This record gives sequence, structure tokens and C-alpha cells, in this order.
Amino acid sequence: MKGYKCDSCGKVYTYKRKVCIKCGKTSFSEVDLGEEARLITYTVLYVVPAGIERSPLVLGIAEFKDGARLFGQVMTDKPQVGMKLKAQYGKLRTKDGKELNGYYFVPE
Amino acid sequence: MSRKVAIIGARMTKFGNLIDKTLMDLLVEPSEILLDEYKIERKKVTSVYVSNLLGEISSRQTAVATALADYLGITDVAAERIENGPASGASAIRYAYMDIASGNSDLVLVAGAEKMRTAPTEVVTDLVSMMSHPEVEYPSGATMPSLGALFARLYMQKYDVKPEHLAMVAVKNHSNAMKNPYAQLKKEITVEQLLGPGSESFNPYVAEPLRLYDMSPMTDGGAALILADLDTALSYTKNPVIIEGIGESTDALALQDREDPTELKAVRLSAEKAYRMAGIKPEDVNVAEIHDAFTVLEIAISEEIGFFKRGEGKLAVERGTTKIDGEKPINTSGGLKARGHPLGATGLAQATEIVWQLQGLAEQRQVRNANIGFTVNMGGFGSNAVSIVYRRY
Ligand SMILES: [Zn+2]
Repeated sequence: MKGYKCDSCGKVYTYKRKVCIKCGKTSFSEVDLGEEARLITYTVLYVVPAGIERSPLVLGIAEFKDGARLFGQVMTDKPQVGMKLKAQYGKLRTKDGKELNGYYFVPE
Repeated sequence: MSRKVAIIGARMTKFGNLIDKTLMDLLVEPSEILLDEYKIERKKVTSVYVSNLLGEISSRQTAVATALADYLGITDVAAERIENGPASGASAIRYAYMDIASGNSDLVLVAGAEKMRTAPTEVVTDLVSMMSHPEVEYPSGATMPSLGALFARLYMQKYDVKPEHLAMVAVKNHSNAMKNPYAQLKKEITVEQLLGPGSESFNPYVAEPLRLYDMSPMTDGGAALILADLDTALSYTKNPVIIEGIGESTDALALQDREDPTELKAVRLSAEKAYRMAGIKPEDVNVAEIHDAFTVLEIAISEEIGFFKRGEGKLAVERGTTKIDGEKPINTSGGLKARGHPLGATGLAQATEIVWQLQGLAEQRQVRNANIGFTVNMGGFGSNAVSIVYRRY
């Protein structure tokens, strides 16, 4: 998993940004976040948006090393705060006939 | 020097399932009542601001502010639609404030409305979800309830807030709404019903840990305010409400990017700006309407705006401090939870309740000796907030 570390304040993002929301600077370096993340919060959503087949849908925020966080679908029926997850890239939902891709999590 | 800005009056439609009313009905009705009641000549109005989010989808309509001016027989004015997510209403008041304070406009009509019950629920839910981060939240299926739930789990864990606390907020706000003829949900509930045996069917989970009765409903409704410089306001009423402070703030758009996702920084900073501008402290506020789109938010926001220390909002709910007859009444109208939450109208409905409280028109919900009022209207899921301080004239 690739991360983007702000050269000025050190905040690490899981996606590319032009400007750091924390310090306003614009220079980032790519860092390796490793494979493993920990679930810090989750919800089991029973009213699932159109274009997503899984229901109920587990959504959560996981934290990689250096505090980089990522929101996404969690492919488990038994979510637990603190559980170890791996990020994978693939289809997230269908929207207006098009596939939207991105990261989701699977239990390690 | 900027001029003092006052609210002449406020009105709203009944909130609820208003199938027979059009978006224009919901904007025109409270506006007309106000103009007639205060005997304001249409040609005196210099600006019309309308807060509305879903007009395109709900009613196949844009440029609704110009439409409202036309329907009311008002021409040659500034007429603009204001969109700031669910904080659109308070933002529209902010525009009116700036317009008047700067001397640019003397008499401003602000109206807000939403029809949320016409389009299918999935469509409305999807539209509301579009205010989430377009790259890192929306594609995964983020909805406002899901973001609210992620926040709720973190916040409840950190401050040992129990489902009972959330239920107590719902019970209080439903009880307040029973006394509000304009409220949507007219149903007394008990903590036992919400959490006791058999509650799984009465109060099912929507987005764990949040259940049905933790959520504000889908609402149709409209509200309107007329604002003016103080001198003009006094020519129409002896009982105006002064806007003493307005503050707006933003935070990272995505919940994951916030420094501490258990905080609502935009809410805190907007309140601090409004208090500073008004020259007051949180303890000076006598009555407040705050953005309880989810029950957990009433507790968290009550701390962010300085009413209670961090982690003690739940104690205030336990002790009844936030009830109508408590020391710090919150959401006397029933709040978003029970009055209803028609997105574009919500900020104006919050202001309406405070105006009525300060004008002594809140009937069964009247808070005694209400002198200073406060509202906070949140946009997105905590990414934007607008706070307003009001004072009885
Ligand atoms: Zn930075």
C-alpha cells in the first residue's frame, strides 16, 4: 500500500493530495505503508446505497502505520475494533452503469 | 462601521410528509405569512435568499430564489439560492447578515425548503451522500448515517457513552416535539421501548451502533425569516431579535483525514467565532438548537460548543439539564430528530425556534427568562458548521 507523506508536517495520506490539509504545504514523498492495517471504527449498514450488492454492508476506517487512515468496505461478517486487515484494490460499486474502483479491506 | 442586524420575525410550515405541497408552496407559505403579519410592502424587500439542496431532483427546479421573488410579487431584488449541505439555512442567514451589516440591503427575506419525500428514498440518500469526499468516501458507499455511525462508535468508546444516553436524547426530543405543533414526529417514546426486550423490531439497527430512533427522519418542510437593519426592524416590530454573532468554520472533508475523528472541530471553531463576535461565553446562552441529525451528535456538539466539558455531555442528558425546564435547554423544538430535518430548511427552523423563544412565542415550550439564544447548523458530516448567537431586544 502506497502512502503520501507531507514533507513539511509529516502527515501521511492513503491517497494523493495536491495540498496538505494539516499544514497547507504542497510537497509529498511516496512511502510504503506495508500491507497491514487495523480497524479503528466500523458500522454495519443495513440501508445500503444502490449499486452495492453486499447487504448488510460493513464500512470502516482502518489505520496503517504512521497513522495513515483509509475509509472503506470491510469484507467480513464479524467486524471488531482492532482487527487486522489487508487493503485490496477492486470494484466498489456500480454507478450510472459504470464500475467505481478503489480500495477495500479483507481480514488478514 | 457595520450596522446592527435584527430578525423581524420567523415562520415555518408544519414539517412532515407533505405530498400535496410543492417546493414553491413550502417557500411561499411562511414568507407570505411573515410579510402579511408584519405588514411589509413587497417593494421594501431588497434581497431574497433561498436555502435548498435537492430542488433539481425533488421538483425539477433550480434558481428557486428568483422563483420565490416572482411568486411573492417582488421584483428588482438580489435573489440567490444558497447551498451549503444541511447547513444551507444558517448560511443563508449569514448572507442576509452580511448584506444588511454592510449597508448593501435593508430588508431581506430568507426562506428555505426541502421536499425529501417525493423522490425514492435511495435517490435522496444517494444525493445526501454526495456531500461526502468524492474520491475516498463516496465510491465505497458512504452515507451520512454510516459516517455518523463511524463517529458514534469512536466517540462512545472514548467517553463511555452508552446506548441509553442516545436513547435519552431521542426521548427528550420526542417529548419536546409533542409540544410543538409544527413538528413531524408526534409520538412519545420511552428508553424501555427503544432498548428493552423486543426493541430490535421497534427500533432496528440502521447503521450500527445507531438505530432507527437515533436518526432524524426524511422531512418535507419550509421556514422563513425576515431580517433588517435595527432601525428598519423597529419600524415593523417592537420585539425584534438581534443577531449578535455569526461564525462559520470547516474541517477536512473526509472523516479519515481529521486530526481527531472524535472531535467536531468545525462546530467548535464556528461557535468560538460566534461567541467572540457577540462578546459572550457559552454559559451566557439560555436556549439552544443544535444539529442532532443523529442523537449522538446532540451530546458531542453540546461539548464542542462549550456547554459542558468533554465527556460530560452525557451527564447533562442523564440529569435532565438539557430539558425545557433544565438549566441549559437544548432542542426545545424537538430538534432535527423529532421536529424533522428538511435539509435546506433546517437552519431556518432552528433560528425560528430561537426567535420564538426570545420573542416569548414558544407557548408550551417557552423557556423562562430566555435572553440569549444559540444555533449551530452542521454541513456535511462535520466538515462545515455555522453558529449564530441571538439576543432579545
Ligand atoms: Zn502537512
